[in-house]
Amino acid sequence: MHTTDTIVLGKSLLDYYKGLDKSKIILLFKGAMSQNTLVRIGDLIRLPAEEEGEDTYSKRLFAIMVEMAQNILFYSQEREVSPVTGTNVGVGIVLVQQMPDNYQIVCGNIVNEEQKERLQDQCCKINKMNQEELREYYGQQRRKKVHENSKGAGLGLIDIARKAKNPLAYDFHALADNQYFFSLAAYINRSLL
Amino acid sequence: MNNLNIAPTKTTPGVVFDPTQRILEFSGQSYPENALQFYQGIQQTLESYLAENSEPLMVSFKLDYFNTSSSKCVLDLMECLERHHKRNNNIAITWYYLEGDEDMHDSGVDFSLDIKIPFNLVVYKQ
Repeated sequence: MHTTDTIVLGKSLLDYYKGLDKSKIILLFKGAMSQNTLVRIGDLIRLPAEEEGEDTYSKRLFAIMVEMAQNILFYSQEREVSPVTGTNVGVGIVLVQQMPDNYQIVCGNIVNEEQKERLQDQCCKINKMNQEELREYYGQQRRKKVHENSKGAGLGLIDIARKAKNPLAYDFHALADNQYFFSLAAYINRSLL
Repeated sequence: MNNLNIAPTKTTPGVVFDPTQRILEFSGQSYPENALQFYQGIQQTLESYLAENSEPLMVSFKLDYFNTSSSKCVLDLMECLERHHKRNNNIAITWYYLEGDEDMHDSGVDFSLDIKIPFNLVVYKQ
């Protein structure tokens, strides 16, 4: 049985609807980010834009989403065991906003103090670089040996900035001791396509 | 034998390694959950083949999309090829990119600057 406060109907659903409408959110996912889930979200991002003939652009959105979603999957401090695969996956949020001049892809998840420091340094460093410097930095990081406890290659944020061709917007909202809500937004200008 | 014939999936590329034809081919998309796991086996097969064979090898990549961890694995694989190429001067890489796909073209250029193996960039139409 559902209790009345968990059923989203009528006014409460309308509030979500209006809120999403106001923020121009065309796609939103919040929950356990398994590999299968990210593949499905990817399909939603990539296919419709392809139909509109915006392939390079939808592919860039897709690429940014994959990096963001895999960051949630591997590094979110909020974890869930997938009932389907039995694997431990990260929980987070991903959304896409369709603005008149750009698309914004935003992700969020919980990080600890150490992750916050690293992400902050990395975002700050990336935002000081132009495209050519980012290209060099990416190459330099890619040649490094992969860190033992990292499933990724530490290249995600650099790639996001390269694909978006805009600085990263980010924030850390303190939740508790050693716990922050990390949010990251990438913008893709529609006019540059 | 060292042959590989891995069918493509939505998140892993198709891989063909045929020593009799002297070809190694990657095609499709690459964004698996664990890229290292996928590429490690391929690299091991390649390493053991190259350790004992010095015949020419044509390596081709015809990828539509790859994520950053796959990109790292592809570089590792190319570095492995490079070590053997230094010894036997027997390897060439062809990087295919779809006409108009600036990002895949640029990725090819980036790899070609990192790897000292004859490297051809070839455009293809859909």
